[in-house]
Amino acid sequence: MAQMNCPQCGAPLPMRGGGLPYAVCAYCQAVVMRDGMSQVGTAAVLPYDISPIQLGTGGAVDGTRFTVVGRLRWGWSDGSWNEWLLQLSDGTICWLGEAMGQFQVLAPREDLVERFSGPILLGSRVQMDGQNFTASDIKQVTCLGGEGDLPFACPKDWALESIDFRSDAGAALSVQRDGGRVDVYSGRYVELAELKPSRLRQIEGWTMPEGLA
Amino acid sequence: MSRAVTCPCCGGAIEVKAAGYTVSVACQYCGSLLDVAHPDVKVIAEYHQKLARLALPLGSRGVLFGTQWEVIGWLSREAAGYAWEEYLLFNPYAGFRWLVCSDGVWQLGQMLTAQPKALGDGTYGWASRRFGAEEDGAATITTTAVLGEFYWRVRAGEQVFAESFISGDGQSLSREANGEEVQWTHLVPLPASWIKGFTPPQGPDLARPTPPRGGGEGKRPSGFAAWWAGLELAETSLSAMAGIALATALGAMLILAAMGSSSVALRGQGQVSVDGAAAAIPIGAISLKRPKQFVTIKVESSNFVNQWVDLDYRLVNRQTQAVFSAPAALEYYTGVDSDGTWSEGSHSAETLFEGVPAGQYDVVVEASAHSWNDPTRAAPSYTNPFQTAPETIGLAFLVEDGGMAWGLWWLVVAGAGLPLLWVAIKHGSRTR
Repeated sequence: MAQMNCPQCGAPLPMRGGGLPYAVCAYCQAVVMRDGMSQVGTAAVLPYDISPIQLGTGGAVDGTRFTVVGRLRWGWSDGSWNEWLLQLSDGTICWLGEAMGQFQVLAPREDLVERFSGPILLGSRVQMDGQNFTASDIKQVTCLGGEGDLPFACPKDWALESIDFRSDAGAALSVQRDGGRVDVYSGRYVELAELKPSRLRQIEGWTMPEGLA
Repeated sequence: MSRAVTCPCCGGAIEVKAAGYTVSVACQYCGSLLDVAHPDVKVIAEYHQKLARLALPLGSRGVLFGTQWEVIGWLSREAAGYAWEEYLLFNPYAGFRWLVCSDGVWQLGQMLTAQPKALGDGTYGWASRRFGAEEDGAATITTTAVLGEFYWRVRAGEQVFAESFISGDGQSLSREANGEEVQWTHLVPLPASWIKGFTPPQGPDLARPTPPRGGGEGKRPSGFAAWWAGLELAETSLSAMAGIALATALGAMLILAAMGSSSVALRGQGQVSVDGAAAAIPIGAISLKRPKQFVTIKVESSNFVNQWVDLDYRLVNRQTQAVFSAPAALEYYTGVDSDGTWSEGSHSAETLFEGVPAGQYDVVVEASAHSWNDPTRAAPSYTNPFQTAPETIGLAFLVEDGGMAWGLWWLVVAGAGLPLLWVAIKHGSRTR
């Protein structure tokens, strides 16, 4: 693990993933650009939550090993959720979304960005990868904080538009729009156990189920 | 660990168990509805009501299908004049489940992440079963009361349109629509005895099953000390020797009992399928304070006949990962022979760990059950709908720090009795 120090407070800023351009200092929440090691902003302090995932958790998606290297937490008027950044052993990244105790694995889809640049209304239907999706949720979300290594900076009060699509078969499609920037992610619901996770967080008062430890 | 919140209406201390997921809390002391989605707690509706006594109090824990669950929320719902209750269950590693109780019949519900397959004739396919529409199964459900915490913005009076579909073997699918979203839930029936295995949260009002050993005997040492002081040691007669030996035995018993008096108790339940795979049953965590102590694990099982259960207890220290393990077994056999019916064995057992150092320990049990091949075997009990296990045995565990080291006490008795025996022999030889 390459060791560098936070330009703001001097605390170690371990490089958890290779080639990710940004990192959040665990001590002072400075958002640091790795190239030049300069501070580009400050992230919000992550609120306490009871997620079983933590930085360093390992596992596999469809046979490809991954390590959790970062996290963003998002909130909207009626709740909040986690997006854990997975660095896969094949060099790609994807996100493990965690909301309401359910998990989704979502991979970035640059090929779909153009299709989702226009106006989207609640109930809009799209066909993708042979499946029908319906826009089921459109909301304004705010970044509640971040940690670890990240593909983009996560300043305080970062707000964007998040659109969730549902399919009948449990596939997932998510679009995030921030002014002119559009990110599209597609994937599916997963059970935690099917990721064969290791190094899960030990939560006080609970015993880690056999097969998850 | 959990997030602590103070109710702005009644000042009650509320522990938010599913921190990060929970959006709404209905205060368990006054019923006021609070918004905890953000760091500052907002009051949605203030109440000061007498609260319903729940069959499963918030904070109760129990094991269903090998996973431990905690009751964190409660809804009272009604449709067409018919009322029932739903409990929200949480485990940080397994998410949320619903425990539905109507007319004393219990069901466990899991929210689906995909839609059941529509089979065309109004039926739906899920979990390799066909679910047909239930007669009068479509209704508008109104939530009439809420208590505890929820991962959405809950409120009394909210309505959903629901349809219910049933399979031949008592399972059901429920479809609830609130105008924006459709949520499907898969429900399986549970025997009421499994719900009885839920234990209420530990608190000052928790009635302990047995009073702590050594308790109530606190006054005896002073009487013993007085007797000891008054004893004339010069009088080394046989009766005095016997008195000293008896006093030593009694004193040792008191000391051992005091050493073994219990201060913390942990309860857990689990099931193991007969002739099936070994079950790993997490009991929970216990915090041991004394530098060294006894730990007792008691187990009681549901009734079984002509079967045995092998148990492997493990105490795992969180800090050092040191493991203390001990085996136990439950067996019970009956049969008929020329003398009539006979039975042997027991449905309960007690296991003592000695000299366990202080620390936080996770208590885990590995259980396996086996049947004794006998043609007059009892009728099979409840079948697990999620697997095809033919028969299960329910197990209830009580873990306590403390315990009476009877082995050590008998050693003391023997030690105290030896000189007595010697004197008795001497005495006997002299009188002869």
